[in-house]
Formats: sequence, structure tokens, C-alpha cells
Amino acid sequence: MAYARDRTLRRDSALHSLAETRVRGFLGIALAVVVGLSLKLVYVQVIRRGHYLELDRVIHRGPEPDVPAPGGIYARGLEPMAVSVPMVSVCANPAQVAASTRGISDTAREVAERTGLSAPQVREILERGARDEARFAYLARLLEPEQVAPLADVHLQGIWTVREYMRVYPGGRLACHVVGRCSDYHDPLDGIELRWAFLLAGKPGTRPKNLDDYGRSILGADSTGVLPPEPGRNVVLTIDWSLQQVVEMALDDCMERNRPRAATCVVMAPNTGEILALASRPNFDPAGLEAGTPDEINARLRNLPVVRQYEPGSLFKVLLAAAVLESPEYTPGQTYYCGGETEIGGEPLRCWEERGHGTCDLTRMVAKSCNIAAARFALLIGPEHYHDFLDTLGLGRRTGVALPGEAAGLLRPAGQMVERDLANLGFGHGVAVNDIQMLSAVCAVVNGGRLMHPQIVRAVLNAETGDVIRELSSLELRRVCSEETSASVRDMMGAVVDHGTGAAARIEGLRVGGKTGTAQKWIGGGEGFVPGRNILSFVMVAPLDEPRFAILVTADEPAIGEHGADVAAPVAKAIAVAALRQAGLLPEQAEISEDIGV
Amino acid sequence: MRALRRADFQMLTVVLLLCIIGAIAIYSCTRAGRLPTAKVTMQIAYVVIGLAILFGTMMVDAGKLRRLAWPIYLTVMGLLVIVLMVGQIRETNRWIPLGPVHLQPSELAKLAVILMLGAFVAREGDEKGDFLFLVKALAYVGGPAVLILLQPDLGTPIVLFFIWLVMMFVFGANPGHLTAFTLAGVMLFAGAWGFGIIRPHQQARLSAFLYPERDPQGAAYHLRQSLIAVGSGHLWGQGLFHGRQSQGEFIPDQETDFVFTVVAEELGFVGAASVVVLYGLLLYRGLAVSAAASSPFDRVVAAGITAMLLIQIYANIGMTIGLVPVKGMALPFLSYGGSSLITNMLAVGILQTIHMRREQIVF
Repeated sequence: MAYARDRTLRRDSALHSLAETRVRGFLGIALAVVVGLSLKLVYVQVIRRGHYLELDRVIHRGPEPDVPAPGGIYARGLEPMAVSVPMVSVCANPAQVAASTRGISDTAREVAERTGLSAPQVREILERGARDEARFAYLARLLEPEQVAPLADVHLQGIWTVREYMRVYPGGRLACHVVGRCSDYHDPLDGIELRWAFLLAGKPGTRPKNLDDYGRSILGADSTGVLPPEPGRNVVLTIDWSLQQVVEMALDDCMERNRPRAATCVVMAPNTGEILALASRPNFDPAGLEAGTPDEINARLRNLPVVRQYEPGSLFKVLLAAAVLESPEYTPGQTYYCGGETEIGGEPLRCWEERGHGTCDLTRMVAKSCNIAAARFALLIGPEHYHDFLDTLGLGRRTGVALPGEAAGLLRPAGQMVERDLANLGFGHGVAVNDIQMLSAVCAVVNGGRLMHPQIVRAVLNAETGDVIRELSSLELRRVCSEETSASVRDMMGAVVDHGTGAAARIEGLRVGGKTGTAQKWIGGGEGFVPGRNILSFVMVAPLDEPRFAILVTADEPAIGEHGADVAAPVAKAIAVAALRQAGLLPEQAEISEDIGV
Repeated sequence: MRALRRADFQMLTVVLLLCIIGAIAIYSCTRAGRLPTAKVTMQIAYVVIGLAILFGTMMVDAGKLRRLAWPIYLTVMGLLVIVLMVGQIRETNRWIPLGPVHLQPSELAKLAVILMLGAFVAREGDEKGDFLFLVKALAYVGGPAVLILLQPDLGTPIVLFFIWLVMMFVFGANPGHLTAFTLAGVMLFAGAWGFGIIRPHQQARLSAFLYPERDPQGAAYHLRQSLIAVGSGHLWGQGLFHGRQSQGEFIPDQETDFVFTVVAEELGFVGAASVVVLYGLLLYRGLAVSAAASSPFDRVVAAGITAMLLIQIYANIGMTIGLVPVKGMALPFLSYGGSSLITNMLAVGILQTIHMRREQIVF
């Protein structure tokens, strides 16, 4: 005991060792503090490092001044539908110009001389800006680079140029609703432009912002690590340029001949679900909207085949026929009698044909579009089966087509259907669809029973090399009916054209199928169904045995024409003929008769 | 001078290393200013003065220190009163302007209280098991603590209370009593919060610490920027003079209270952990001095000084890495600032003189 001689401590030697223990206890606390700090340092600097590096990047990276070149939109055969052209805009800091030695009028004169802009106009912009103490004003936007080149030879305080891209649409109004449009500042507003902006836009580059808070660069700081802008991708659509042109012309004809409020057409490849053409009327010019009332402009911009839902009417009998064929309640040869009028669910039901269709089997129901037989068949198979079949076809929910604003449609649950609802559903009322849903469903029942995902984008390309980055293959969602059912439905659609309501779509020498539709529109505001206000439609498949094209045409309240058969069917036929001819599927015989307009 | 051979050279080396690291870090984060070397030059001057005071203190016998306790204590109390009467800096009365420099008496108050408590323990140590003894000891803390609270400064009184707690514990006070005092202190704080005595900026700092994502531009700005600097340092750091946060002056008060973030960002985990280890060594040596001390005064004073260093290190580094709320407190030997540096040098000097006479009584 080294401390033995200390009298005080000798007296309290027990206490002394206590004190030593206490010092050790405190040492433990100190150790815990050191370990605790170290652990937290490991957490912040090693484990969570990525998080803080990202924050560091956000703070210390500025935008790279060069903007990425946006990608283009191309049709199936790589025909450009939307491309960006590099242009130059002239900008000014009016306050700085006003304060410069040259002054506003001299600067304006110099700018005008070198760019061909009007000197008084430039001067006015600068003067107005200087009055407002503005720091930024465009003197001119989107000029040809050559036009602005002479500006580079002189230093004008407060005047500079920036590169901006201008969106141009080589196809003009062609497929305008698919392609969509951009604002004057290249912001995507609609269509593929909007929905696929995440690929089209590219990514702005960044560079390390090694500046201190006085804006001076940090001595010796790392100035490497510039991330160049990533150019946008090119998007290739499934749209067939020449077929789209045919569709546009056919719809224009229809607009002229029948003068409907609106008209649509969608062409789909039944085996792949690819949308080959899509058009909507009224339409717009993506390069610049024509003047009109807000309602008019809004109507032009709406991509009806996607955003509109409506009661399909008799078109639906094609789906009903497939549902009946798949039902265990149905025995082949089952018929119903149509006398023009009957009573279902305590209410009278009139067929559109006042004389009645007589005895109808399933084929005659479709071919003659008999509402009473359709209602009876719907009642035969029952709400559960019918609903489940339609649900499998994807009705009542969005198809997920890669275009903005798709309407979901409406399909009433089986449990909510009373007898009359079920009967109405037989001929396509009490249900709402959009064109894409309707056409996909028809494709599924005629292509052998496979529901395909409706496809609008075919591939994504590297804009610089043209290499395929991603190919979007067709996607089978599910099987909806048997091959046999599908073959039977095709026959029925053939009967519609051969000796039914769709005779207007007949093509000499080639069997095609179709179905007419004349659906009353439900008018809001308590008016309900109003006679004469109809959506007329025709769905067509060609060739019938191995469908390559499925075409849906609708016309909304035409001034001339009352039935899908006389308004929509001729349009569909014209499109089918062109499509078949292009595909080399039109027999000689047909070629001749179609050419001479028989 | 022979006595110098008995000095604790490990401790002196650690202190010198910390001062060098501090000077480099201060230079790194202030060199972008108008006068790149102004602050580092001042700091080096403070280090030189501090070392002179350190060695000067080593010459003083620890026994004399005990007799100097009262005069020092009263002088500091006087300074604490004066500081309340002179001009404000940042809406507080913490500094007394002395020509080109500012004296921060609350720094010196810590040492004064340590010496005073040591002297008290040596005088009335027989009653250490007594509750009343603890209350009397706490009274010596209370005077300076209240004056400092009035500045207002909440951090230093908490440091003083912690020092008192450690000194009483090492001296052998009843742990139950100490726990009771601590609980009472916590309740007092809670009550002060409830009655609005805790200043809004202090409340804001505490909430910013608890919920940093709530207000990234306001109270949590400091913590967030600090964490970004520390976190982006990663293992090896961004390189000396290359830290983007440090060079860009993104962190307010970086050369003073947030100097640790310079080390962490530019020298990484390796640098930051080295600093922590150096502090660990310093604390270990301080407690070794306390354990080997030959009298109750020496023992508790050494423990008190170590406690003072410990809480400053913990609170300062802890706040930069989100372990404790942001609180204005200097990091010993690293932070820019004369009062803190000289106080800590003085403290190390006292540890040294206690160490040097550890075996005197053996003969």
C-alpha cells in the first residue's frame, strides 16, 4: 500500500478503495461514450453513407447547361410522327441592358441588324422589361441557328442565346390523338407525348457545383464528374402510317357525308392486340390549336376511342353469342320467337324491327340483330355466367393501353342485375365501354379465344444509334373462350355481312365478318334516352377465317343516316379493303370490283 | 524543472496532436474568406499562449491550487456579473470584449467550480455520506449556474451539474442520493419547459433533434448540413481542403462548434474515429491521474476535469452526428476560440501538476 503513510487515508482505507472503484466506474462511462460516438460515426459515415452522398449531390450539383435532345415518336415503319429540331432563342436581361454602356436603343439596333428581328419590337421588349426591373425576357424564340449566328461576333451586355428544341409533327393531324402534343416550351401535354414523356424527355446532365457561398469556385476542388445530358429515347408505335392515312381519309369522308358530332375508328391486329390505326373526330393540329370556344377546343383534343365510354348497343351481341356458346345452359339449336314486341320483367320490350324477326337461333339473332332474342339468350345463361364472361373479357376496367385518360367503362355486378337489366345487357345496354375495350373483346372472341393486351408502343430505340433498347412483344392476358366458340362467332359475324344487317361491308371474293350497332345515347340532365340521338357503330373482322384486321368505327349523332349499317359499315369496309390490299390479301376479283366502285 | 520529467507525456502528446488537427481543420473551413489565414493564425497564437499557461500551471503545486480555489471562484463570479452588464452578441451576454478578443467567463467558471468543489470535499469530506453535504456542494454550483442561465445559456449549467455529479460520485457519495438529484434536475427541466422558461430557440433545437425532417430550412438546417458533411465523408473522406460542405461554408459556426464536421467530411471515418480515439486516450489518462491521486482534493479535481472534458466531447461530437440536440459548445482543443482553449489547457495543466506529485507521500 503506497498510501499507507498518509494518516487520513490510513483511517479510511476501506473508503479509499471505494473511491478507486468509483473512478473505474466513471472510466466505464467514458469508455461507453467513446464507443457510442464511434458506433454512431460508423452508422452515419459507413452504413448510411449513400443517403448523405445523395443529399450532398443534390446540394452540390447544378444543372448542366446543355439540355438533352428529346426523343422522337415514330410510326411502325419508322416514319417520323414527332421530332425535335434544335433551335436558338434570344434572351435578354433588360435591367442589365439598360445599365450597360451601349444602352437599350443601341443594343436593340445591334440585335435587330444581326438577326433580322424588328428593331422597334426588340426595343419595346427591352424597355418594358427595364421598366419592370425584369431580369429576363425572350427577344425571340425558336429561330434557325443560322439566323442568330451573327450575334456571336459581338459582345452585347445582357444579351445571350440559348438552345431550345422545337417539336415538329411531320404527319400534321395524322394520328394527332395518339401522338398528342407539347406546349411551346416542349412540355408534354397529351397522348404518347405525355404518357411516354419519361422516356422521350431524356435526363438533364449535372456538373459538380464547386462554388462557395460567394459564388467563387473552390480552390482545387474536384471539377470532374460532369454527367452529360442523356438524350431522350425514340418511341416506335404500332401505328401503321399508310393504314392510318386511310383511316383518316375514311373518317373525313364520313364526317362530310353523314355529318356526325364525332366519329372514331380503331384498327387492331386481333392476334397481337397491336393498334394499327386510331383516329378521332373532331381532331386538331398538334403544331398549333385553331381558335374556338373552350368547349370546341376541348372536343377536338379528346381522344374519344380511349377517353369516352358509351353504351355499345347491338355490337355487344357478338360478345353475347360467345357467352351463350360457352354456357352450360345452352343447347345448340335453341331458338326464341320475336314478334316485334314482348314483355320482360313487367315492362314491354320492343325489337327495333316492328314486324319482328320470327324464330331466331343464335346465328339469326346476331345476323338480324334481334333484340328480343338477345334478351332471351341473356336470360337463358343467367347473370353470373354472363357477367363473369364479360369480366374475363376485361370490361368494366381499364385495359391499360399506354395512352392517357382511359375511361374504365361500367359493368354491373351480377348481384345488382334485375331481370330487365340482364335482358338489356343482351343487346348492349346497361353497360359502358370504350372503343379499345370493345375492340379488344371482339378480337379475343374471334382470334381463337385469347384476350390480348392492347398495344400502342412497339419498341423503344436509342435515339443516337437507332439500336433497339426494348422491344415490347405482344402480351396474351388470358384465354376467354374455346377455339370452337371463336369459330362459331366468326361464322355468325360472317352471316351478318352475308345476309344480315351488315351487307354494306361485303367484299367480293373474300369472306369478312361484322356487326352493326345502333345504340341510344343516355343524355344527362334527366332527358334519358332520346329518339334519334344514337351512336352508330360497326365492328368488322377480315379476313374471316384468319382475322388479320379488326376495325371498329363509330359515329356520334350523324345528321344523315340512322343505322350503323349505313353510316359506319361503309367506312369500315373502305378501311378493310385498303388494309387487305396493302397486306396482299385482296383477291383479284375484289380488286377489280372495288376499283370500279361496285 | 526535475519535476517535469514526471509529467504525463502521453497526455501532452494527445493534446498537442488535437491542437494541430484543430488548426488544420480551422484553416480548411475558413480559408475561403477574405482573410484566409486570419483565424488559423489567431488559433495558433491561442495554442502557444495556452501551452505557456499549461506549463506554467504545472509549476504550481496542487496544494496551492486548493488555497487558490476561493479567490478564483470569486473572480469568476465577478466576471459572470460583469458579462451580464456589457454588450450583447447574438442576443446573449456571453462575451466580455477585451480589445481584439472576447473573454467567455462561463468557460472559466467550469474550472472555478471544479476547484471549489475539490476544496470543499477536502475540508468537509467526513460527511460525504450525508445528504446535506451534497446540497452544500450543489450550492457552490448554483451561484455560477444561475448567473450563466441569465446570459442565457442552458448548456453550461448542465455541464456544471454533470461535473458536480461525477465529483460527488467519485468522492463516494450515496448513489441513491445522486440518482434522486438527477431525477429532480430532469423534472425541473420538464417544469421549466412547461412554464415556458426554456427559450423558444432551445425548444426548437430540441424538436429539430427529435424530428429533423420537419423543418429542414429552419432549426433542423444545422443538423442536416452537419450530417451531410459527416455522412459524405465516408471511409477515407473527400480529401483535405476538398470537402464540399466545409469549403462551401454550408455549416454555420463550422470553425467553432462544428469543427468536427470538417475532420469527418475531409478525412472520413478514419480521421473522425482517430479524433475520437485521441479523446478516449485523453479521458483515460485523466482518470488514471484521478485513480493514482494522493489526496481527496487531487482525486476529485482530476475526476471533475475529466468529466468536464468528457461532457464537452460527447455533447459536441454528439450534436454533429445527431446523437444529442444542437447546443453551442466547443470541442476541446479543436474548436476555434481562445477562452475554451485556454480553459482546457489550464485544466490539463492542473491534471499534470496533480500527476506530478502523485507519489510524493510515499517517501
